Amino acid sequence: MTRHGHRTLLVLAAGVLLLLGSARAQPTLTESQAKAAFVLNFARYVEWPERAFPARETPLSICLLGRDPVGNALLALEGRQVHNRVVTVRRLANADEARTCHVLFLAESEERRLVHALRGLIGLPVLTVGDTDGFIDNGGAIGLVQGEGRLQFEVNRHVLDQAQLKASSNLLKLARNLSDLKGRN
Amino acid sequence: MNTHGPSFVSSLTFAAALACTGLQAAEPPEAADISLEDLLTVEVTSAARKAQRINDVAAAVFVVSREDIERSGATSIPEVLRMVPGVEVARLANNRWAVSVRGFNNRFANKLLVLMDGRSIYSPIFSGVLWENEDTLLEDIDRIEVIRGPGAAMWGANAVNGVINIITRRARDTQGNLLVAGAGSEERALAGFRHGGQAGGGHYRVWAKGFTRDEAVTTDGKSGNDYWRSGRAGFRADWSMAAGHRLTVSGQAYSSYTGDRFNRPDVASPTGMTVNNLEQTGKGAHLLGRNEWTLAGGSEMALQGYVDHTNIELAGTFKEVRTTIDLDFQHRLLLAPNHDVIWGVGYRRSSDRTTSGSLISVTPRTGAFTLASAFIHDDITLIPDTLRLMLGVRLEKSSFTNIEPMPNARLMWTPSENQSIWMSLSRAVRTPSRAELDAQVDLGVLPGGAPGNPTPLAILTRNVPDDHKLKVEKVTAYELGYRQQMTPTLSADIAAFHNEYMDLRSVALGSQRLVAGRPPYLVQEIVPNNSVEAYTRGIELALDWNPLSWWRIQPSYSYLSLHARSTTGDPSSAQSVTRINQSDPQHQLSLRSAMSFSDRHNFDLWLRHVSKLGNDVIAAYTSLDLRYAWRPRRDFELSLVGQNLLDRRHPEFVPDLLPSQACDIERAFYVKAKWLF
Repeated sequence: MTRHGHRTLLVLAAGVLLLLGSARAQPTLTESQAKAAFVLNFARYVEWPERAFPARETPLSICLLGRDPVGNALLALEGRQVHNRVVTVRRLANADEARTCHVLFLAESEERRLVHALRGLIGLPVLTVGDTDGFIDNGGAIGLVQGEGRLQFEVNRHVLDQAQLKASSNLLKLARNLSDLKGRN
Repeated sequence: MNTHGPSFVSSLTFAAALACTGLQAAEPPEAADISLEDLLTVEVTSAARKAQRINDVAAAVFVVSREDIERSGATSIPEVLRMVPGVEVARLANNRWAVSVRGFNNRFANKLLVLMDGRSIYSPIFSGVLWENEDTLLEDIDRIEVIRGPGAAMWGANAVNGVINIITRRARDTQGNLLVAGAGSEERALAGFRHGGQAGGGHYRVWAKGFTRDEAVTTDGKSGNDYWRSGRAGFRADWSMAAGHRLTVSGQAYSSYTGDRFNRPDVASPTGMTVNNLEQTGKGAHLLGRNEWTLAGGSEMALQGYVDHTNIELAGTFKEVRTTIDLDFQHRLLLAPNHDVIWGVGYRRSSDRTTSGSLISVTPRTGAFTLASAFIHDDITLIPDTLRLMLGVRLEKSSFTNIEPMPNARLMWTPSENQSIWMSLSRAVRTPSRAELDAQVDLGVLPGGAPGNPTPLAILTRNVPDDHKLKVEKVTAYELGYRQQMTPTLSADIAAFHNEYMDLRSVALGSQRLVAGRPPYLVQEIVPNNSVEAYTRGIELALDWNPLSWWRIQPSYSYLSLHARSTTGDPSSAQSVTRINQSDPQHQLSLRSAMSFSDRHNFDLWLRHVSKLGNDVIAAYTSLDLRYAWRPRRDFELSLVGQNLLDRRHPEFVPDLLPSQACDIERAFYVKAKWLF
């Protein structure tokens, strides 16, 4: 088992050198960037009740609760258009400020106050998105979860209904926990 | 019991899973324009994922993520733990390890509590973890949280120097089929299979794995008889039910056959011992259920129970059959916006039946102990997002001890979003084990006329029970830590500690008597007592750096200084002091590099240096592991791993307690295929 050790090592090293030679940076997204992109997409696939936008020019407000690198990635979304509305991004100091948001991202650091925060929003047209374990089980609307090296999401339809948010069938089809809807519509 | 953690570890609990920090490198303008369908297929770089969430934890914490495990190339849990700063992992043979945190390393290192999905795998008879029996499908592990320093206020006795929490993935994260298979020079053959599906409104997985490992060589070049064959199967099912109830049921059954070679004490032998090969068999099964639910007021409750049955046999030497029942309840409530309180109660009953052979005999043959505990922990926000104070205490009453209080106070200051400073003061205890209280063990034979034996007769040293007079071991720990996210791609974590230990278990010379055997010999009894004090000091430093978007480098360094002394000056007490003082390396360095050239090619390197033990009892060694993984398709991966590449073989530890022969750790190679379908 050790006789061929040196030779194998050489082969390994040669392989590595070859690889290094052809190495190129793969343009992948960071987890935060991907999560922020998901949030923006969720907003695109959800319809809010009219009362959520008092005026024609009311911006679509994305809020962030808690400390999280996703915050910076979300801030980069400011100024984009969703449903013909300008996106604004705010960091909140506490959950009570979330009532006027359209989308609320709850960072992991808020896990301890998660249930409390979500309860305060029951019935309000706020799309809650989070990435903590069991987010939708705790009353969140859309939870981001880790799949095999990729991100996936789960939807709590009951919470969406309560919030009077209308999710497109495309969104539901792509949700991991509702994948049995595939092909049915 | 892992559910005890939320406020203490909760942030950390979720740390590994997500939260990639520090990767705000230039946002590609198109990131937000990717469609939902495409986003679901985008490979996410999850480098440096830990630092951010750990920022919130006021303890020395390191989280080993699933990716860390995979890219380490390690094939067993103790090998994975080598990457954690402050953790000492020494392999005694291909099937035996000594693992400890912050000193006192030993095959039966007794100051470390290890939990697997909330189930304690600390053996009450050996007061330590029998790593050769503990395993799972590594692909199913979500993360391993390692907390250095006393965790007793939260997890209870024996979490003196640290807690290791092995947490498996939720069933819904392991859907579909997975097949792994591999072969190599030391890993002769390994295979694992998992199937995940849905049933009854929930998710489940069933899995099985098996492997056979080669023997290593003893220091004198002979085969070490340390083969290892193991097979195990298990399942986990999770349901989310009405009214916010989340139910988990999991179970496992295993059998593990490990070879060993004993230098068995023998009064008739001129060398004082005879060498014989034997096999250790470990068999066991457990069933665990946990329900977590949320009450109307927003408070959370969790109830967990498990039954664990183990059967350990050292052929001709010792046998133990143990059944443990454990119940645990906890309640977490926000008493006020700034008080996050958790309290809980627990009860455990563990009964055993032992069969003694030569070498070890346990009296009485059957035993049972109960352990009742209660804890409360308050996480107080003094200044929102800036200053938190955590106060906690746990009370435990076991059959062997009076009520033991284990208090803990922590302070966490977060002056800015990317910096945190914490300090902690705690007291923890270790309770004596069944073997320490009731076992008689033949430790060794000093042949007649040998140095230290002026008599012509052989002297057999025999550890005898002490009539339950052993006290608990105590530690008072002072800790300080600092974390900083220097740049989006660089973070550092530093922890320093000073621990003072009282009443550490040691021994004293007891009576001597003549046994009229053939040949006649003397028995020197040694009696356990608590005659050692010690203090440790140390620093652990971990860096996490992403110099390039596809390259991650994680260096870590641990320094430990341990000084034990005998309070009696008894020669055998002094001997145990010597042993303690030479069981830990002063310096440990680890450097991990993970390169992801593309979706298809990964190259990983792991360099480790461990300084000498004692006065060169074990020489310092440096080892290198390399791993290259190729993924021709998204669902198929082939990896080639080389381990301990820098030398042909080297020793890492000297066995203690049981007279196993030490083996050298050899250079090894293996290939592994992983298929998801």
